[in-house]
Amino acid sequence: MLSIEGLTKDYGKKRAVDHLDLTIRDGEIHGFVGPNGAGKTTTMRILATLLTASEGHAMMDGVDLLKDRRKARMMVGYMPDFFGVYDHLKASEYLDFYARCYGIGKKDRERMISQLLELVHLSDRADDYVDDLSRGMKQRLCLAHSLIHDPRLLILDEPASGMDPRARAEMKSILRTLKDMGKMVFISSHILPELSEMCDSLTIIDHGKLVFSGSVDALSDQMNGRNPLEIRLMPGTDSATEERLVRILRENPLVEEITEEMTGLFRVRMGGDDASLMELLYTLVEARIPVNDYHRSSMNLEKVFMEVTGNA
Amino acid sequence: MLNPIMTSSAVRRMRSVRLPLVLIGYAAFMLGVCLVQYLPFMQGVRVTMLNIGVNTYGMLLMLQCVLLVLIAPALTSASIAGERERQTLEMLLVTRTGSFRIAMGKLLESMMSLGLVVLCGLPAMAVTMVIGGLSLTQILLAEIYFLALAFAAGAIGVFASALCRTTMIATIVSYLLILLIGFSLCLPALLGYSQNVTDVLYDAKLYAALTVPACLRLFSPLFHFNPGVGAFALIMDQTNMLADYFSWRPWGRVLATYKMMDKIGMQRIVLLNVAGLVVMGLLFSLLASFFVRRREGKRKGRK
Ligand SMILES: Nc1ncnc2c1ncn2[C@@H]1O[C@H](COP(=O)(O)OP(=O)(O)OP(=O)(O)O)[C@@H](O)[C@H]1O
Ligand SMILES: [Mg+2]
Repeated sequence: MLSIEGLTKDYGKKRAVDHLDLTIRDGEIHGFVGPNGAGKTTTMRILATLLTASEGHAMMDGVDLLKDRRKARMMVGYMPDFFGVYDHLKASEYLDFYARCYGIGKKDRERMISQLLELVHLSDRADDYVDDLSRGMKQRLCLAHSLIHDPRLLILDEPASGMDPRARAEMKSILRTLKDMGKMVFISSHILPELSEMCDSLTIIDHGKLVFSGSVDALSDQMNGRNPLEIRLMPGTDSATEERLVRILRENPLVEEITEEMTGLFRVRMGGDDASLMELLYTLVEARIPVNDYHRSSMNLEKVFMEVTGNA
Repeated sequence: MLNPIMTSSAVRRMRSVRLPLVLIGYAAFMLGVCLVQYLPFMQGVRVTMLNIGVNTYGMLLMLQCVLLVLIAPALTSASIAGERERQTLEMLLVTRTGSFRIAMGKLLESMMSLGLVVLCGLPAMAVTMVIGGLSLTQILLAEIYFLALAFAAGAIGVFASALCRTTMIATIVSYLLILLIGFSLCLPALLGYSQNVTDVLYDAKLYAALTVPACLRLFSPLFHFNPGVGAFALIMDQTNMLADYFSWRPWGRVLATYKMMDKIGMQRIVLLNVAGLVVMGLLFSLLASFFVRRREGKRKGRK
């Protein structure tokens, strides 16, 4: 289990990550979402020992990754958002090089390399020069490289950015295999729906601050309370009735915002639970407003993302 | 286990076309110089200067010193900055391989290539040995000196490479550093000695009474790090071709320096210089390992 507490990073005066807390359990794929500049890469680079944190702890199996960097390097595999490959080096040699940088013995190296090439579906490319591989293949190879020392935690910074849909699907299946092996996977993306499909839990950050952290289901639940109410009136309702509706809504203290999407369709942002929603409906019916449809819209994750990060 | 950085970089360098081109060019250039020098000799022209072989040798020495100092930074300045440009350095830094091992691996790999360059100068040197009256020890000493020179210049290149963001800037910085070091280490010869010391050295009796250890104590220790001093000592030891210029009193402190070198013995100076260059190389590789990681914290200019 990895538990991060109060992780903070200042670049000079600018605070890129602000007291971030999150927990990743064994065998869990944990998504990390946030808009550009939210501090995802910064957090991941700190965990990968490339940056020093200004404050905070990251405990994993009794080791503080931020303090004991030598141990941390053996426990963490890292795939950066942007990376290059060496020229004049074959795929198998590429992996062999990194394996030796991790001090892995010859026998283990050979076994590991063929297993990993198998895992990322590049076995038939073992003797091709890395430079000549396609971008998606390079990404898969880089994923293999980050697994070469059998780390407990795998950090992937936007790994799917250059992949076609098929490669993404393969990526998902690879990650599930890793999950079954009991590894923790920490994976960042801008695209919440894509992550929510493959992740067990999620963390959303914005401007370096934690917005949400928990399971994907918990996120949907939490978000539902914030979904807008849609009220559709009978077609052909006159404008006087519409004005009456708006007046009634305005009088309700729970209502925050009213927008008329089109004639006869109102979108209402309001707080409160289901009971207060019912209460409002009674009022409308008593006032003889011809309500045709009345429900909280279910929001998709893309909208959730916008909602959560938009008004910070 | 062998340093993986060294072996992998070496494999990649050997697979590229650049190094073989440099090697062939270097060997051809040296042999070409030999040929031009010996042309009149081979055509049977009566040569009044019997030490033509020795002179050619002196020329080759100087040329090789200059070329090595030019080539070494060019071969090393991409070592770490190049990985930065390629965006491969980070993946190296998260492995168990520490900064010092990375810097050392890069330096050792460059030394293998520079060793090959030095080796490619050997055919031309061998030709001079056949014609000019040079001993094997002298050639050997010269080769050792070249290696030390390449090591120091290469280490400066690796240091600049660790310091700078791009290969281009690293190349420029390493040449500037070499110039600066070469120049500042000459200063003792121009400003360093008091009137007393020069008086002692000019007085034939006092000079004769001076012992080698005493002379070594007078001699500025900075000179041991100055590649120019080593090169000069090599040439003087083997050819004596510059002696005429240095018998000149108005040269003052420069003449004093020369007299001290003469007293100490040119070959000993070369060996001390070799040691000095190696120490300087080690210092720069230590410094380099310090900067490999430091820069990554403030990475800028990402896509
Ligand atoms: N080396 C640096 N020096 C100064 N500020 C930096 C540095 N690196 C990042 N920042 C700032 O820290 C903040 C977080 O950046 P970070 O790269 O972690 O965001 P991100 O969530 O990965 O964004 P993206 O989705 O674009 O990859 C940004 O405001 C950025 O400008
Ligand atoms: Mg990022």
